[in-house]
Amino acid sequence: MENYLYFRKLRTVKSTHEQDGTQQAMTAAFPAADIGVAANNDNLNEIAAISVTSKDGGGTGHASVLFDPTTIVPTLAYSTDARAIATGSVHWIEPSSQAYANGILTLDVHGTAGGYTLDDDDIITVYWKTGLETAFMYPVSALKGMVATDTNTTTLHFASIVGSATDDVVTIEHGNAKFEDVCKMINDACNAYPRDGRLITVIDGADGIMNTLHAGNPAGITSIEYAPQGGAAGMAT
Amino acid sequence: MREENYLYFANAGGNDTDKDMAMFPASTFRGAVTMSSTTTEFFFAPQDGTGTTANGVLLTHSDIASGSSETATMVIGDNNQHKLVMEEFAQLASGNRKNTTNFTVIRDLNTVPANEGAISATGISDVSAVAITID
Repeated sequence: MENYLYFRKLRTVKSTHEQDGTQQAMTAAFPAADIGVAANNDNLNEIAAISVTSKDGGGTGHASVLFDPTTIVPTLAYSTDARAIATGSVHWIEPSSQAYANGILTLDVHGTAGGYTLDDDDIITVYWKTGLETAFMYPVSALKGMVATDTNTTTLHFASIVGSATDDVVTIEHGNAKFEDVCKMINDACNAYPRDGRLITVIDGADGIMNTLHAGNPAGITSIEYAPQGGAAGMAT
Repeated sequence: MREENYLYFANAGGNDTDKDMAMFPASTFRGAVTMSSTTTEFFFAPQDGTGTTANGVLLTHSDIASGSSETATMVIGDNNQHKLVMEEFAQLASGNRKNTTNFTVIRDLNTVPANEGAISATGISDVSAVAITID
């Protein structure tokens, strides 16, 4: 019997960004306090919904949510009609039609296929959900070890989930010089319930709240990153 | 006797085509990863012995985002269906059942033989579909 180590990335319910200019790409990544490290934060299917709030009615939108009143339970339907933009009006954009890389969302411009042409100071809001590699678990036997890579970063190495010769790596950002606290936590997770075998929540950043196995988060963990060697394209299905 | 659980998966097919069913020793489990809001894939050491490819079982489950209210639709950050399925898997895979056959049904959606249904009604009821990949 062995334990299974569960990790979930830091994700708030929603993140907002105020655009500084008229370009379609966000002028800064979503805050690290919401999503952790922005680098390689690329999974569009973690985005459940996107809204744009017009600062002063200046943008142009062709997409927003319609509710179909003919069904008992209304379902989301994204319109491709031109929408009236006014100060403070909120417009919902089809998430799967946008681009997302390194914590920066790039919206399609307005057009017959939908989209929204941003104006200065428009507010972009993203609602997060579980998507590709948001959460994962490994059996304890897959843990190869861990190493400090700088004063506030520790990496965990697991045997590749798809059998690659290169390890899957979990990078933990934590308080300065808290390496020993992180190691102690992993040790406790591996050795809990030695006669049983359970799912042990090591780090869970759901809803933007960093819960760790050790109450009170003594290691000061702020986020985790996950780099399976197989990646999305290398998964078995 | 090897005291190990053997994990059984079967899709909703008729157990008459390739990969309608698979069974893995629990010790060959390599890990699980969320793939989308409604899917989690469980990986095992390959049955072909190469050790260089993966065998995967993609489990489909519910998504809290499919709730019927506007609140449930938009406030979905606390979607824990994946964790629920992972936890149930861990309980089944690690179940310490001395003096049993250790045959462990993770999910069996098979409906044949018609007069008997699935070979076991046990397993993770939250799972609605099973897709097996054997490379």
